[in-house]
Amino acid sequence: MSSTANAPAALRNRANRGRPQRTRFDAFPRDPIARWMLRLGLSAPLVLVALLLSLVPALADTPNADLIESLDGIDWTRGDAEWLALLYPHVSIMLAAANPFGRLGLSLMGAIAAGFLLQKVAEIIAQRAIPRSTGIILIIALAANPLFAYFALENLPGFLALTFFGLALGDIVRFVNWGNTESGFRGGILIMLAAFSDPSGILYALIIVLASPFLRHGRAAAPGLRAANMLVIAFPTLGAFATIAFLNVLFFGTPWPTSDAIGVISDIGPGVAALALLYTTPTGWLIVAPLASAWLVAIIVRRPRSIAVSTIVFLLLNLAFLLGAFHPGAAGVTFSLLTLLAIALIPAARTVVTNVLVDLVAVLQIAIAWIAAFDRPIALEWLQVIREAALTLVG
Amino acid sequence: MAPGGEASVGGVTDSEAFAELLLRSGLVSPENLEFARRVKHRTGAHIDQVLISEGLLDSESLLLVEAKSWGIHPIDLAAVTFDDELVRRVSGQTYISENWLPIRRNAAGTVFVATARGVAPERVDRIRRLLGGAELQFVATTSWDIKNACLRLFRSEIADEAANELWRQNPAMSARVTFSRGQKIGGGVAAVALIVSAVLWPVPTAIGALTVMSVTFLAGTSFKFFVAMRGARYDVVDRVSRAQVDALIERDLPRYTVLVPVFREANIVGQLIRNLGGLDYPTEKLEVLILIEEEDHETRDAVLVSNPPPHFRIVTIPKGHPQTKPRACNVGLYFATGDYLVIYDAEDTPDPDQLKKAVVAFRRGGDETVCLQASLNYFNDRENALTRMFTLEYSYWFDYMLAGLDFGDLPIPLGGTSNHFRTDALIELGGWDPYNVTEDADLGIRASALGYRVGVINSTTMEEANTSIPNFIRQRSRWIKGYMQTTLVHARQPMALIRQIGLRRFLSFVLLVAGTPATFLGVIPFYVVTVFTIFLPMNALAELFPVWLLWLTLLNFVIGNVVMIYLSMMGPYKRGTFYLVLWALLNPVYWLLHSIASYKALWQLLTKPHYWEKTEHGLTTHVQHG
Repeated sequence: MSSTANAPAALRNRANRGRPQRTRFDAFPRDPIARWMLRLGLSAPLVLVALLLSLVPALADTPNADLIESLDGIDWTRGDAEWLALLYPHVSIMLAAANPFGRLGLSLMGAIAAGFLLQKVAEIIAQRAIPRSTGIILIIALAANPLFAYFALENLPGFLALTFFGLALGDIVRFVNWGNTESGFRGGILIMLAAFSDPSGILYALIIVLASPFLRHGRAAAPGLRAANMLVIAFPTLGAFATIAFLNVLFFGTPWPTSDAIGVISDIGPGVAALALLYTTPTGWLIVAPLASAWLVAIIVRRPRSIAVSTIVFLLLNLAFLLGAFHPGAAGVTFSLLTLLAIALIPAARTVVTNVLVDLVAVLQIAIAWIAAFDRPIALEWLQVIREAALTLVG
Repeated sequence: MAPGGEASVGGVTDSEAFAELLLRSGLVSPENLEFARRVKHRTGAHIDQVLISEGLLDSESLLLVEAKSWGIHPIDLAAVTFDDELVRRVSGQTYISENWLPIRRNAAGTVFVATARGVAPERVDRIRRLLGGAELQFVATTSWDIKNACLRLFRSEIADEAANELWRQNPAMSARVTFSRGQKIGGGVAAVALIVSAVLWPVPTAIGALTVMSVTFLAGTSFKFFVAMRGARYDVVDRVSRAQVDALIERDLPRYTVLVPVFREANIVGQLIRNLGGLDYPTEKLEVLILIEEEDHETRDAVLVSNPPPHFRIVTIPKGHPQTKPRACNVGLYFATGDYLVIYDAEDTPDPDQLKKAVVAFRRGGDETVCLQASLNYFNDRENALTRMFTLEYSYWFDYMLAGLDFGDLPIPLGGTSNHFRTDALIELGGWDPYNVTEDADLGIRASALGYRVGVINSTTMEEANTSIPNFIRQRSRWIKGYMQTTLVHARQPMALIRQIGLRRFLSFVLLVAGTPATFLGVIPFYVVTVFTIFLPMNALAELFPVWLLWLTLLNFVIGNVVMIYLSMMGPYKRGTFYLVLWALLNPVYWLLHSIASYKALWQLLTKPHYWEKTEHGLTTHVQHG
């Protein structure tokens, strides 16, 4: 060795270093500014509605109203494991606690979350090379209806869970179908955030874990692949709950101090009876209708496994309802979830005929959404509030 | 193994006349000569290089023919007595690079010079000038004989240079002195302050210490996770594709040197020769230097008995201190003739196309890319729980973590083996630090500090995972001690380092290289705190520590462990070894072993910083396939 280790001349310009080539995993739109503009654009209608709603007194029994009320019961001077459990659902509680604008702030957060969710749906559509016209119809079917708007603006915990689930969904499909590892691990974290946003998020975690083996696997078959995928998706959620439970056991001798397992179990019997009655009515049929649409899409795109996935999801939604995972004031969950799932499961390879048939189902879904909205008293009441607010605005 | 064979370049040896001479002398058959011509056409190598590397001609015969063609006599340098004063007029490296060596003067003052190249007038003039204008009498020898003679003649200089050159050039970059004066003073003051504080204010001191440890733990683990996530982004994209490798023209391939430092590994040298013999690279452009310590006769004998191919050479490492792998590598670097250079361990099995992939990646990376790290993985992953955990760890580290560092243009601590270098840049960097027991990690950081880039390639070298816990603790203690040494070396001038590499890369260095030992050191105390929390009544605990502190500390610790388990689960995805995913749940136990090793490392850092904990290889009962 005859040279110096100082080598000052060796200091190089790092500016010209290349990046790995672009892939089909690209975000949509690729330009970050355009991406943010799309999110803002998709949020804008809901932001306007939220501002409009702030002109009139809020509905009393919405999930957001309960969230604000629950904040008053939290002792912010504590700092222990039990307190950590009492904060559940942490993501929503923390966001609500940091929000200085009360009910309007929660609605605005929901609107912004909707922008993120819809941008992700647009990304899924772009990555599958779905025609722009079909994509627009699909997004309208999902979002341009009172159920979606009510969900976003009046049920922040539930909508955050759905948003994280939606963000995770694209990742999980990429993970399982295309074998992209980063997507799977990010999806697992997003699912954890969903589970810590609302109890319904636990249902979403369960849905995605149980559905993952039914997805077409992009990796070469290898022993343990499906089980490994399930574990990767579920682990952050399990790990986070286990962490809290472990600390609770360590300090208080109980895994979850606020749980009321006996009460939940005793409510199951009456709940089953109520559900059975519900599905004999037109309201029940309207709740089932998105499931039928999801089946239709699965048949059109020749993905029979998607039928199993959407059926499992529907059954789990009912189970979650029985277990009390949904707020009594929630509306639009089944519709939004099943529509989202149907879009996520559309494959990249399709024909013109397939696209046209998907368009038709999407138009049908738009009709279902509006009919269902006018069938739900809580949604009707909310639409009435909007009307009052609009009248207040115009004097 | 042939004693010679470093082929001559240019001149008569490349000519058809030389080929005819070989044919006429009966040393080469017409068929073999035709074969050599075809290879020459394909690779651009010279006919004699081809014949030697393919074992179709031995070096002694070549020497005789060359001597005849140059019109001089051949000589066996092993049998001559050198004039020491004459030899030392010029540096050993000049002799090696220019392929000549003075022997002695005769009574008339004529200097006998051994040469492994033709004696063109310009060459003769240059040599005469360097030797003070004396009359010259040339004798023919081989390049390899000149190298061996230089190794004998400059033995002590080579040993000293291999050990101390970096320290002489830049003491601040060398781990020869473990703690700089500033570090000793600073560390001493901090230790005294901590002790005084612990005596005067025990609870606040404990709060501070636990807080720092828990934040460090969580920061270190989270950083690894997020970097690995970035690395996972492109795990389905090949950095160097099969088509790019196939597109390489053999004629344009550079010369490659493979260094294989071995020490008391006679049991696996047969495997070494088999594995490295599988490299897909023209042997005419490949030299494999097996670096064997002077005292290690057993390994040397084992190599000779294994009848290695002609392009394999033994380099005897002169005795010296410290007796470490990097010192042996520095000696190997002294003799390397390749444009590129790679290091493998004795038990390594690199992908056959690894050198070609490195060539593609170097060409694509430009001059600033001085080193490429290939992935390491284990063939005996199913042997026991330890090998499974080891494989999980290596998988996430090499397949995702390093890819993430590469993607983020962050300093990459090189790992163990399969580090490919531009030879000239490696020399410019000062070679390896023989006093650092993770010389590879140190070199990666040093390269980054000097503005170079270290990259990764999508090629794998299969190794043998540690099968026994004591062996594992020994190996890990060395690695962790090396990270501590590297931290101390690069923390001597932190502001200068920040200026050179920027704050982002500096923080990455701190979290990765300094954070790793700190994280491991924290594991045992956290386990102790957990056990106390379980077994002591809460009231008793509350008298010792604030409960919120314990809670927060343990929260960080548990989350950190969850993050590490999740990160370990990522490991198997690149290679499809999904049966390992569930084993990631044992990571907290695995980290307990790391923690034990980290305390051993800390003790050794203070008591014998340059001691090289030898890892025993060849313990596996598994056989590598494919």
